[in-house]
Amino acid sequence: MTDQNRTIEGERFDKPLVLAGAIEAEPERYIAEKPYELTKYEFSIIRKRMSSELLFVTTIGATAGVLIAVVGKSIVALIDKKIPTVEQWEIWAVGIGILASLAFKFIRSKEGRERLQLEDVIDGHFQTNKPRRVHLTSAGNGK
Amino acid sequence: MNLDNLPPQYVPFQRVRLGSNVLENVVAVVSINGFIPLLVGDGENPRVWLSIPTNRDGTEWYPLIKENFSSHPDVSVEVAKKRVTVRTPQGTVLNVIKNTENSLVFFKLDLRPFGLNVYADEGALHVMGNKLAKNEFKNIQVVIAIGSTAQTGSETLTPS
Repeated sequence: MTDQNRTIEGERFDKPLVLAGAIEAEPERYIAEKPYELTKYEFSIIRKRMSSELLFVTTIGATAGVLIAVVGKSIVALIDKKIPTVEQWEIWAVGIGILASLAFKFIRSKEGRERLQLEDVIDGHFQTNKPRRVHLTSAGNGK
Repeated sequence: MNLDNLPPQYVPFQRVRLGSNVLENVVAVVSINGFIPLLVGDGENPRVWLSIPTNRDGTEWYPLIKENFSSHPDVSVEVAKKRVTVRTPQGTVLNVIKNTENSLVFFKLDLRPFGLNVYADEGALHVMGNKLAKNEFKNIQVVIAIGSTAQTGSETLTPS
């Protein structure tokens, strides 16, 4: 081992230099929690977009589109000082859209359930592994 | 990570300039009890992996930066053209640039906010109170091994 407070200058090394020393303080500030060890299979589940989620977004988006079109049409009618009219198919479209969206929102596919289950597992890991605040004054190595 | 467990994406630079020291054909700058806390690999831009100790024995480490991705909100990794800068609330801890000769230059290295007495400016590298300047390290896996159970790939303790 080399001594501390040396100046090593202009040397050539073809083998490692070994120095005495240790970790001087635990950087608690940057340690949020124990990382979750994600497996490749778990990663594939998280990466997969749930089909029910996709259907929900598509349906709710389409329903909102119909609704905005109806509102726009009504505003134009009011500007023209006419009575706004709503077609029957527009009412049906919005109604079916809302019902379908609710169904996709609350009826989960197998992969959706699997993903939610994994999210619960990961959440549980972080709940039980809170940020660490130990070690600095533990017996024998406190400095 | 240690020498047997380096990230598969890590490609070492052939030539590194660190605090007026020149490193050639080197895998890692420093190890602590066999653990390698910092890697800066070659790529389109330099790629940084940085782990910090979670205890003073150095038996557990937290992956703070994984291939330029910060896993902590207080630590930012800025990747500009050929340059990577790592900032913390205590200041910049790493500033490296890949130059036109495909070598890596450390403009700044400071691991002191993480409890490791390792820092460098353009003039010298400071490790555990020792100052290293204008040295050459060639064909070795780890330049400096710190600790009592240092695993270096070599048994030599002194300059050649």
